Amino acid sequence: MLSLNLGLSCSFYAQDSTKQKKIKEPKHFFNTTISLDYYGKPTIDLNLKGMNPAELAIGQHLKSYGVAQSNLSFYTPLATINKFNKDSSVNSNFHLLFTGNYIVLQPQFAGITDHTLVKYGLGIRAIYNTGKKSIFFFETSPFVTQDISYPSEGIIRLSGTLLWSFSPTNGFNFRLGATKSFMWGNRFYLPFIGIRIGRLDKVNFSLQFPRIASLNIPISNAVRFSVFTKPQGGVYNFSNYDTIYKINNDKANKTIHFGRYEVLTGLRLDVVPNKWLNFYLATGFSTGNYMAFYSNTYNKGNDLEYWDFFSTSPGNTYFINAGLTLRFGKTKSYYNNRNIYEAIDLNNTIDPGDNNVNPGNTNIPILKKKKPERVKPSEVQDLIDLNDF
Amino acid sequence: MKFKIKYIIILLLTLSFKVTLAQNDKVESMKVAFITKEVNLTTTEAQSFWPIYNEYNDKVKSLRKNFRANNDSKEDFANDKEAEDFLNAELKLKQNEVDLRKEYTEKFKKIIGVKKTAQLRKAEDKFLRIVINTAKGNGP
Repeated sequence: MLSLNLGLSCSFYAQDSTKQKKIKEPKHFFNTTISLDYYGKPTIDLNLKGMNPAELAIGQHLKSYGVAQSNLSFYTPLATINKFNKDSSVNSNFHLLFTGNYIVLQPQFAGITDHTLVKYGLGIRAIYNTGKKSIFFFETSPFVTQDISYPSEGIIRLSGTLLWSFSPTNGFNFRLGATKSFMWGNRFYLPFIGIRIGRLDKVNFSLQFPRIASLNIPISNAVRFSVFTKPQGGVYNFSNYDTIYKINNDKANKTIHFGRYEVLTGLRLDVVPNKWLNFYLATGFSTGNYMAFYSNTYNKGNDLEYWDFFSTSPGNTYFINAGLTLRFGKTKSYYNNRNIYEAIDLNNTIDPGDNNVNPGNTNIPILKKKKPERVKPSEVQDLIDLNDF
Repeated sequence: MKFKIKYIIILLLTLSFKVTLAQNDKVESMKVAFITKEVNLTTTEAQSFWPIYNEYNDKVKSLRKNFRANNDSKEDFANDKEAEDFLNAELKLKQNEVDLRKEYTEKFKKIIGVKKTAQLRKAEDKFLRIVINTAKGNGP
């Protein structure tokens, strides 16, 4: 049996009369989701020791470095193809999602004017759940980066990930694949290697190189806690208004590139008031900080890693990260459907837009084992019938 | 940045006091936990069983929601025709439920075997008794 849902209502068991209302059955396993995220780390003086004269001049010009970043992203399911084997014993499905992202980055340098860098893009991701132990994931996100404070060119870049996820048991998963990403402050083609020990709806440890390592402790459906370490960064266009790049400061060099990453290590608390909303607060230390400027002209024709004309490792600071995730619409039930849990985790680990901003796995239900204490009619009306009393 | 952080913390703290904790799907999640405990499925069985069981539940819910959407708003019947339509719709609902149960019982038998399918039915009934007893205890 094969059913394809493309936004049209299909209710197989509706009443006969054409006059009667038809309740739409949920078509997808994923909600339309919008995430808002704020991240900031304080300004700290640049360490100028050991710089060569050219870099020292730039370092003295910039003086200090801090980051404030706001991110808006979304994904929405476009199509779900649900397929059952002839004997109904295996349910495989294919999910096509549309993604989008708008990020505003304000690097803070005391010695130069304020720059507001934006990055925006749309993307597509496809997830195929074989219904057995494997899931295949593909996503691509073309995006534009631009310095909107001063005249500069917008440049189109592309990030993407291709992955195979395999779960031999509920409590163990590994992932293999490749990713093109800018989140390590440069253009990198990296292998994706992931391993998770523990079930997604229980305490688990997950290492997803190059994105995140985390110990996840779901306390309940309403409260989830994690300890994590992950990079956060990107490559943005930067106007050379402040003459950071002095060689050939002509029209071609009005735009340079700014790359940065930090390794964030901290604690995160997710609060889930209901299944349509969750918010989180994370804090910890920003270490392994890196920032660099790349010349546009010097890197013309270079399709691999950018060559920098200035790079430095600013000192460690604290960071703060807060976010809100809104989910819309209803989904098909996926209780204990381990492959859908894996698909949800994949979708949340690889955020729209290559920013490593994770909405959290709050849409994976934590089963309650205690007996119901107070039940409302609305909660049980689909489970029981008057004749059951 | 300190200014922004202060307001974000105040906003989140305010939200955390105002919201009530997750209530939706509470009973559904308890039912799944209960069945998981009662019907001792192997990892392989569970992998195939739960997607099909969820599909069955979605269909039953959809049937009942459709019935309510079309019949709950009527306080009284204007004529015999309306009353007859209601009775027919209710019978059709029951018939559709039985048809669904037959269809999915066959599917469950293929995945988890006859014995565990019977255990599933007993677990569902047992859970319903718990819910009903709870509802009786808290009723008006």
